[in-house]
Amino acid sequence: MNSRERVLMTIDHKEPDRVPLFFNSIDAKFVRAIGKGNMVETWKELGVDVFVMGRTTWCEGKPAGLGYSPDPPPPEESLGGCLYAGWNGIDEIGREWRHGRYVRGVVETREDLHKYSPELKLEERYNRSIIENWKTNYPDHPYVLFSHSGPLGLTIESFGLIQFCYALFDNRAVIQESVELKTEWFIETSKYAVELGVDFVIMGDDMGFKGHGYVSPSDFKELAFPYYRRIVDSISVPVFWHSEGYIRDYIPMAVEAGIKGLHGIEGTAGMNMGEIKKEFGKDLVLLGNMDGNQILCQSDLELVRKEVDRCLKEGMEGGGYMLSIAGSAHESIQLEALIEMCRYLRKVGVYP
Amino acid sequence: MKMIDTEKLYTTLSQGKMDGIEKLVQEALEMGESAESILRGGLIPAMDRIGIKFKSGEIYIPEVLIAARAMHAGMTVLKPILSKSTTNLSKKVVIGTVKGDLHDIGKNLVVMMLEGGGFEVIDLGTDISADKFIEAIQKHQPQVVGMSALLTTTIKEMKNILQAIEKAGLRKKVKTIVGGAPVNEKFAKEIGADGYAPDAASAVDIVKSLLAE
Repeated sequence: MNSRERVLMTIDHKEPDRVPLFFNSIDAKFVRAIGKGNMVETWKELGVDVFVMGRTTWCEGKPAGLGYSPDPPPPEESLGGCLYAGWNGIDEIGREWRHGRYVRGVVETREDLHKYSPELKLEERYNRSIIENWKTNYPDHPYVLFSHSGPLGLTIESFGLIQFCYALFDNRAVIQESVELKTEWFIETSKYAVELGVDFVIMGDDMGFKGHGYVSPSDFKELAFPYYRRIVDSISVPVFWHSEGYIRDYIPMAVEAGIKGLHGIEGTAGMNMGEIKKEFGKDLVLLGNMDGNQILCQSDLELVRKEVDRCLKEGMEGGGYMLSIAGSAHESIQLEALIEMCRYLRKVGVYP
Repeated sequence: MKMIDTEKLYTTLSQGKMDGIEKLVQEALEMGESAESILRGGLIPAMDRIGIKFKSGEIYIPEVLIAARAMHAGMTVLKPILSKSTTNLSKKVVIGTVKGDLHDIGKNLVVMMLEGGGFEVIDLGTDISADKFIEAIQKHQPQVVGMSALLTTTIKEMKNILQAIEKAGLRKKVKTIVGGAPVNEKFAKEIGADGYAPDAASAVDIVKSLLAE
């Protein structure tokens, strides 16, 4: 069974030959160490089943955000956990970055919102030639658009969490307008990725901290649910949702909106994948939830193997499960731990 | 409380009405209530109730933040009076995100919750070295020092800061708490911190319990 068949069977909630391996993003240090700077070689070496298509955003005129370059930036510029993370300044969405790390949002007013509502720039936003090359040379792999630009999460980031919270009470109309604009932008830019050939879309929309969701379920129902539904209804491939943090209370609404998969499921934030599998496993493909905060950041490989065993025990039965880190393969993760996670999955993640 | 309607104060605070809180505090003062009693008998218990509701999942961060903002509005009325008082009413907390780490969302939430809990908070900001923590402790003489980090690479700095506090002879003068995504209770104990706060609301409880020891 090749990767494409394996993943498509998984999305169809059937048991393939083994549990697929998924990464949403991999820090440049791993691409250098494993694939000598070549993303595809890194994926192949690790046994990654899904090829991830990035979508460029711009910060102060320079490309930023998740993207896969054949020439990744030097390690000191890739602190954000993604390949193109070495940026500084305010991006086209109104997020301020320092040394590749998000520090705050700058949107306060309706005028700011429109100033920081990006154009589509579809041809420039995707690297068509890389994607066409992949599809020609690796037709045995499935493709996904992973984009950290869901409508409510992006609104929160562009306002900054505290200002967003105040605006929910002081200027709710601007929040609603922001979510509306970002939803349409997400739909149009994702449709283009579907034209380029992605098999599914993962909408990154971070909605939680450790132990708590960002907003009340009623606010989620008003400010996320209808927009998720519109996104699902507008895109012709399955839409999955990525969120870090505790988002348990929102999952029923995501299912109702038509979301088909969940990436992240951060155990250290209080998410229990076993329980989620039991309750929502028939509706959602689960992608998670290796601990990228502690276990993969140390060198005891027995702990890594135990963590893989836990994930498989909780997620693999009946299909509909891909092993993934609960977040990205960020710079703090140990190389040997990452490699062992992938090697051990291939060994023990086999369906009977 | 004799002069102030604590239930009304709580309701106004929970609705985040800054003008309403200022008015209630002003009215209580005009009726002869002391600033200390308005703070200790009215505002702080009201924020405590907000914190309990947050921890139990009845309310969420936006509701907590607008309450903390309203609390702050009430404090702007009380602070000039309290500062003239001979009693040192509020305990001080020095807080910062450790060196090498620029994240401040979680730390800012903790600051707002602590201020809502009646503490005077000296927020050092992000990327704060051990030397800057020491300097701030010597200058502000806080009862508690809080350290935040989001990255696995930067939590090591917490241990360096604790060692620097020890070396500077300040360890017995302050309680220390740590928090952030990669931090847990076990790590806090290993590095010798006095407390670990898993979230912003818990930070207030931890600080209070450390000061009660």
